[in-house]
Amino acid sequence: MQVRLICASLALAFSSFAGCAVAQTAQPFTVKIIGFNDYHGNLESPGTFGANTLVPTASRPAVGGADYMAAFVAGMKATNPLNVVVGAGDFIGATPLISALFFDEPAVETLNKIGLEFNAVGNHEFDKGKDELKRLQNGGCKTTNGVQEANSCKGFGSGVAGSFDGAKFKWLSANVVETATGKTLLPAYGIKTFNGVKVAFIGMTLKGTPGIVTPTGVAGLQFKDEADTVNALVPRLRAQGVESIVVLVHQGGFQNIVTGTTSQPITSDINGCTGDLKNTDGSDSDIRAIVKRLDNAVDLVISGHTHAAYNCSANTIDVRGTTLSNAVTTARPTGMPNKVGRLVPVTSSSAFGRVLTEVDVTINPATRDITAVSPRNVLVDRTNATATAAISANPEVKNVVDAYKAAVSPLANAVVATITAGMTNTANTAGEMEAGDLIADAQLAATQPATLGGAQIAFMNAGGVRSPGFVSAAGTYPYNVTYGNAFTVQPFGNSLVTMTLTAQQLKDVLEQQFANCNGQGSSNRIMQISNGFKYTWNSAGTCGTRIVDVLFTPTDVTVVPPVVTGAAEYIVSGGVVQNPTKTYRVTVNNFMATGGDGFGVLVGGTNQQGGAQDIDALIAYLTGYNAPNAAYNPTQLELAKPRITRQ
Amino acid sequence: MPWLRAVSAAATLCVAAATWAAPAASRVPSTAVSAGAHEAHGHGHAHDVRSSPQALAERRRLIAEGEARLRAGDVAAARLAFEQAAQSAHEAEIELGWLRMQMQAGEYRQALAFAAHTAGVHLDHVEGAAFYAWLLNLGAQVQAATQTLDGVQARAPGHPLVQAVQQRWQSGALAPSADMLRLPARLAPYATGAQVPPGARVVATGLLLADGGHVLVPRAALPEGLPGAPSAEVRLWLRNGLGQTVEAQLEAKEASDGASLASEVVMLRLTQTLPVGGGEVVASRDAAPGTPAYAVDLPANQALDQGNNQGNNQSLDAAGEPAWPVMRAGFLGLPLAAAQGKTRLGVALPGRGLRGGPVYDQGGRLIGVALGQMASPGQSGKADQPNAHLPDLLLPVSALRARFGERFGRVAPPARPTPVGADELYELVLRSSLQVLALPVSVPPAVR
Repeated sequence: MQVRLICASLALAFSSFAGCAVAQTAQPFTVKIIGFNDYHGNLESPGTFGANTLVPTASRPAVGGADYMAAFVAGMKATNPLNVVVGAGDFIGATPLISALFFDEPAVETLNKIGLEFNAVGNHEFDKGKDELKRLQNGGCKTTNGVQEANSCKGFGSGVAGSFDGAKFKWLSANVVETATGKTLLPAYGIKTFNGVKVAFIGMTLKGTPGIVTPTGVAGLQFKDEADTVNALVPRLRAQGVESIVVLVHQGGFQNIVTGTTSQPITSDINGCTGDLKNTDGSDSDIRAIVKRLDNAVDLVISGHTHAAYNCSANTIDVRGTTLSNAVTTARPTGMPNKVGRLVPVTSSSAFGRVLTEVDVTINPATRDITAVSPRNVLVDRTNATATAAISANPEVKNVVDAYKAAVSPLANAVVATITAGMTNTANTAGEMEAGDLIADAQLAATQPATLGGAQIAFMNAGGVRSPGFVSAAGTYPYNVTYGNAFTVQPFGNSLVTMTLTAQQLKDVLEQQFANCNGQGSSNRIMQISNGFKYTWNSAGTCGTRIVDVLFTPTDVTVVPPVVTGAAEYIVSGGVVQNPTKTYRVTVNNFMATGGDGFGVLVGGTNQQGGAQDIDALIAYLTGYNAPNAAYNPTQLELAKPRITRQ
Repeated sequence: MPWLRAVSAAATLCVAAATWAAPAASRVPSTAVSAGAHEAHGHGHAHDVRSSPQALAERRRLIAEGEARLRAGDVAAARLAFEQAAQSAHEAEIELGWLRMQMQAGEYRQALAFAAHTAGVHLDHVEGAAFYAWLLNLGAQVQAATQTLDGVQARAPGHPLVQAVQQRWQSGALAPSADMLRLPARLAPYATGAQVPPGARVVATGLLLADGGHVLVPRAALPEGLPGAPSAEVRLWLRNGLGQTVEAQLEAKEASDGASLASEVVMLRLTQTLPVGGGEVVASRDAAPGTPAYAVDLPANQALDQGNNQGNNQSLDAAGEPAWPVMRAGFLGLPLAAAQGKTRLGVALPGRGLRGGPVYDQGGRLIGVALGQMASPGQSGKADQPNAHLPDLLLPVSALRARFGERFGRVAPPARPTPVGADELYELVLRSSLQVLALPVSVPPAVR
């Protein structure tokens, strides 16, 4: 009745207010609200969980994980196109390393993909301060003293690699006010319209937040009373034609056994409401105390903070028994009394993505108000076959999780060497790359011992030296190269092959580097060559006549620094192969060995011996330049550069 | 720390551990545990002040019950007790009990994630953050562990647990000290199974084979004179990272051939099988230098032997205390130029020791065993003691196969494996790597 009167009065005051006039002709409809709380960056499953304590430990399924959360949310949304996904805070902060190491960008990116739209701030949203919260809302990389953090902007779940989109959902902070401006830090509420009816979501954290986070995190902020904040917003919302109001609050309670009472279920079912969320001494819990003072306009409260699961609504059940087989389930409609005594549904979905709350609300378009609320807590069960199939069909979220899982590996961040200067994969005019020299040397080193191939020379295809090479993103040196850096340059997982080539074949394969020569494509493919091997090519030459001189100086690259071990010899001089049948042991990768990149001559190599993976060879070589050893200096004389000269 | 004191008991801290009360019929019987053992280090509790006295008393009983069950190795009962306690309270102490229960159940991944939460929520109880830092370090996340501990030190610089952890890291002796074995943040499992007499020492690490009944250990771990000698009174025990302990006997008394590295390990037979991790896979061929790898060690508690626990009134035989294994990530090293067939381990394990723990590749495939190098007479260091100046070595799978046959698990194809997370691998390591405890012949075997 109250709602109708207000609607009518608004209609009188604003004759063109379409909300009332249009809605009154339509039928009631249902909107699906999907809620959860206290995600805490749990991209991966937090473990097993059961619907109540009667479920034996061994029978509790693994639950949660961003991939399954996304699948469950998608499944719920598929049943009703009128839907919205909301949260009750603590979605970041106090997170596992897979999120924390990357400044909680993974948490935000996965929440984006789960489809979250509105989320209350919780106390942990302030762990790193308001400026960092705003960055996570708005996007952009984390910087410290003006320098981008290496672990920020991985971008595995953002639109562009190397970036961070920020939250596509809206963080709401109705009771968090910036002292300096008197305005809320973030929007107080969000509104989504269904069939022309607006539904408002007011988001806020507990007023006690300053007492449970670091002072620097809440500096310059005031945290106001939760109920007072909501009640003050109600008139503002109604002025906008809003009658359907949902509160997302980061405050909660427990299903307690109230001392002195009897016959209370003690199974703590996720859809239970034991003790009606009172404290054990019978006093009101924090959430109950808030609801008790709420304006009657509030239709639903989605809560959090305590990590408990409860469903205090018309759908509450009491589950009694000592085992699943003798359990008796009894319906017991509940709710928290508001300031006029009406029972308001209050829910919470445990934490860490274990549970989702699926709420079907019925909206009367005539009054624009919610007339019925039907919540149900649902386990995010990782054994659910439908969800598993959905993830297989669309592994987008799983891929994001897997990418961060790989990035958080201690191996990814392990330092393998220090370099004194950058080495890019940009070739000079002769075709030589600084990064290519290093890789060729590493491949020679890995195959130089007699038992590993007895290689004397190594060739590396230029296309296999990936961007950006070995460089510091900040441009500062010395720079510690990590395994992750190295893997970026050598990502293909090729293996090394050592083969015997004649001097003539050596010249032939070098000639084959040039465009349209002996099966080569339309552009030059200059191989990177190892220490001890040098040649000169004539850019004015024709196919088969470009290689002028090839000089080979036996060099042991397995020691640091490399050491010349024999006399230099000309394999080619003045374009003429000096001893065409003399053989050399040459290492290439398996791609080249099979004629890849147009190097068909290599298919004719004999006495082939397989070796290590290219990335392993690179790491083994680089570790010779890891502390306490001297750093790798690409200009040191022992590296015998330049190796390729163009006439 | 005024802001810490400002943490309101009424302002509920996020409880994280589980969730529900267990049914009355499933409650475990009460067992007395010293209440003093649960006292925190002066940083206060965050009780729910609106709990009734009866509820508080029940919670204390449940915590004690959980601890007693954990001590007895009844992890399932401990889980139920801690769950019940967590149902209505926001206490770090309960969560630390829950965490230790998870570790004793071998659930490292869940413990690690949950510890991150405990560390971030219970700011007034630094034990949570210290526990998290310790777990990170054990699982090869050394940098993150250091950052976490740095943050704890800034909040509670004089806390004995924080100091103890830092000292251990600095010394490289990562077996827990006495301060680290106090409740509620006991940084070690409880020993269960066979009783180990006082005087037994952790002397090396062993690798549990896929049958669960045999273990490889460094030959040098055995007391002098054991191989080939009639020292029947010498006793050996093996204990995994879950604290499960069994006695062992030498499988065959073969002398070292003095030449091959493989002869530097021997096989023990367990008197009872131990659980295997379920993922025993062995590489089909030796890994190349530079291969990403994880190595494992269970260091002896040398610092306690040296009296570093002076002033501690606990009477711990810490040298024989159980411990969680230490895992480190790195890259396999190059062959030693002067020693045929010997390859540097490449993975930097903390401290020094005989080693003996497994080495895995990124895919969790066994690729060898780590061995500490013995100093030869005349070299620096005592003969037959691990020498800090000599690098650890890798005994590759080919050598293990040649000596012991194909008994290490399912042989994996040679293709590069799909990497598994370090935390996932650590769960395997909790079962596959074992403390080797030896009781020297000179020590009377008085069973405690």
